[in-house]
Amino acid sequence: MEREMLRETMEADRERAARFLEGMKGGRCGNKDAFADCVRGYALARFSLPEEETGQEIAELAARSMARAMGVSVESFKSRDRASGCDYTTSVTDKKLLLILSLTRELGVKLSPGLAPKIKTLAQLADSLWEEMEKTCGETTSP
Amino acid sequence: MAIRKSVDEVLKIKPVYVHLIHRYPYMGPCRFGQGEQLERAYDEMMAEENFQKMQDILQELYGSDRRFQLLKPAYLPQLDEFICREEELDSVGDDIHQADVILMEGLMGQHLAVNLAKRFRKPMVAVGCCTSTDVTACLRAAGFEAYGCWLLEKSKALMEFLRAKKGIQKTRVLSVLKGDVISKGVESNIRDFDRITNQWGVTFKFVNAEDFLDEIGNLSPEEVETAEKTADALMAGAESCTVSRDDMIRSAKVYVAAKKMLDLFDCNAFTIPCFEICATRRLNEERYTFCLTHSLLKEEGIPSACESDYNSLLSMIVMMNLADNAPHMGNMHPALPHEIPESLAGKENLIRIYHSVSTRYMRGRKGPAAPYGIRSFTAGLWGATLRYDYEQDAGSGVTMVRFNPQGTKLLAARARIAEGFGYDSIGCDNGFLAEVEDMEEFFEAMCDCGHHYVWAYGDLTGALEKLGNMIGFETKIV
Repeated sequence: MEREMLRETMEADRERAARFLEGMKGGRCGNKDAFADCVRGYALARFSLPEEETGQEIAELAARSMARAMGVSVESFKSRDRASGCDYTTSVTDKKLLLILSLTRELGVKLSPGLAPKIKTLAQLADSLWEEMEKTCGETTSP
Repeated sequence: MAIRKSVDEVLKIKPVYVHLIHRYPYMGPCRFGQGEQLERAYDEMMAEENFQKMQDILQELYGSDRRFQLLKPAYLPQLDEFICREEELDSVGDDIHQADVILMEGLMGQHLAVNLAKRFRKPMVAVGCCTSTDVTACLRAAGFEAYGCWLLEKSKALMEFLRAKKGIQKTRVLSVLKGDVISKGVESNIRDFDRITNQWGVTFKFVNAEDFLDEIGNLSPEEVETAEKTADALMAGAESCTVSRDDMIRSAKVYVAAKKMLDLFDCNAFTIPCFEICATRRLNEERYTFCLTHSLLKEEGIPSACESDYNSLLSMIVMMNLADNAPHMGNMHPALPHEIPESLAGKENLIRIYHSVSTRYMRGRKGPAAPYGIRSFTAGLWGATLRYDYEQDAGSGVTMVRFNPQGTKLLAARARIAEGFGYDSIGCDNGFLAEVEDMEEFFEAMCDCGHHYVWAYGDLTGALEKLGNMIGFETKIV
C-alpha cells in the first residue's frame, strides 16, 4: 500500500515537472517572471516538495527533500551530509547539480561550471537560464 | 624597536582543491551514478561547488585568526587521462613559493598532491578519507613532511602545531657570555648548538658580557626615559613594592638595554649567566640583576632564560610558541623534610620549584594581567623581581618541562600546586610546592635532564608530544 502511494506520488511529481517544463519551453523569449515561476514549480516537483513551499534557497530545499524521503529531521540529515568517499559529493549538491543539468539539457543551453556555486536560489537559477536563453533567442524580452 | 618575535610568526597556508574530471560519460569501477551524473559538466560543476565550500570553511577557520594567512586558493582539475603535467603544477600560482604548507582537499587528488609536494618541497596537509592517508604514507616514506586530516575542520589544530614549529624555526638566540659558553651553574647544559640549528632552525649569537653591561650604562636620554616609564608603570601597578624608584629604574635599564641588543643583533630570545657576571661585582656596584628583564621579555613574547641555561631556554621557546604564555622557570627538586610546611605534613610526593622570574601572564599573554608584587633580589634591596602569590593557585595542574643535555628528549612532568611561597621574601625564592604522582620515577627522570624547569598551567604533555614528533625530539611524560 505504501509502495503504491509512493509510486503514485512520484508519478504525480513527474507530471507536475513536465507541465512546468513545457511552460518554460513554451514561454521561450516570453515573460521572464512567468519563466521564473515555471523554474520554481519544476524544481519543487523534482524535489517532491509541495507547490505551496515558499523557500528560495536551493540547498535548503534539497535538504528538506532528502530529509522527507529518508524520514528524518532536516537537522539530522544536514549533520550527516558530508562530501566523502570516491565521489566526494554531498546529496544536497548532487540534487542541486542534477536540477541545473536537467534544465540546461531540456532548454538546450549551457551554463559555465563556475556559475554553479554562485547559483544559490531558484531566482538566481531562473535568471542564469533566462540570460542564456536570451542569447540563443536573439530578442530582447524586457516586459 | 622592531624585534620580530617567534610567537608572532604567521603560518602561510596555500589551499589547493583537486577534483577528478571525467572527459566522457561512462560507467565503471571509478564511476558511480547514472544519467547526468556521468556528464563532464556534472564533474566540473561539482568541483566548483566543492572548491567554493572549501574556501568558505577555510575563511571561517582561519580568516580572522592573525596567526595564519590564507594564500590564494587554487583549483587543479585532474582529467581521467591521469597525466600530471608541469604546467598543471605551475597553475597553483607563484605564491606557492611563499607558502609554509600546502592544504589539499579533493577527489582523487593523491597523484597531484604527491607531485606538488615533491616539486615545491613544501609540507603537505592532505584532507579526506583515502586521500589523506594515501598521500601522507607516500610522502613520509620518501622523507617528505606530510600530515593527514579526515575533516577540513580538523586542520586547524594541526596548523597550530605547524605555526609553533615555524616560530621555533625562526628563533634567534642572543646569548651573553662570560668566560665560557657553558655557565658553571648549569653543567647539564646543551652543548651541541650546531645540531639544534641544523635540525630545528634555532640560531645562536654570542656577545661579551662586558659589552652588554657597558650598554646598560650608556643608554641614550630617550632610552633612560623608557626605563623610567617602565619602572613607574610597574610600581604603580604592583600590590606592594619594597624596591626604591631609583633601584627600579636601574633594573628597568637592563631590560631596555637587552631589547636594544636584541634589535641590533636581530635576535628574539635571550639568556645571560648570573653567577659569572655576579662575580665581576659590577652588578653590586651598579645595583641591578637580570630577573626583571627575563620577566618583562617573556611578557612580550621573547623567550628569556636564567643562568645561560640553554635547555630551559629551548624548553621556553617550545612552550611559548605552543601556549603563547610568559612562563616562570626555576630550580626544581624533591621537597626535603624541613621544606615541607605543617599544612602539608605527611605528603610524600612533593616537589619544590622556585626562582624569581614570575610574570603577569603565566596563564597566557592574551589574558588579563595577574596581580603581582615587587621585591628585591638582594638584601641590599636592589635587583627588582616580580613576585606572584602561588597560594591562590593551589589545586591547579601544571606541566614542567626541560630538555636533556643532548637536546633530543623533553621531560614533561605533570604536577598539582599544593602551596605557594616566597611572595614576600627576597632572593631567588618565589615558587610553589607541587604534588607529583610518583616521586621515585619523577626524580629518576630529572636525573637525565637537570635541575631548572620551565612550567605552564594545565596539561601540555599531549601537545608537547605531538610537536616533538614534528620537530624531532622525544617526549618523556611522567
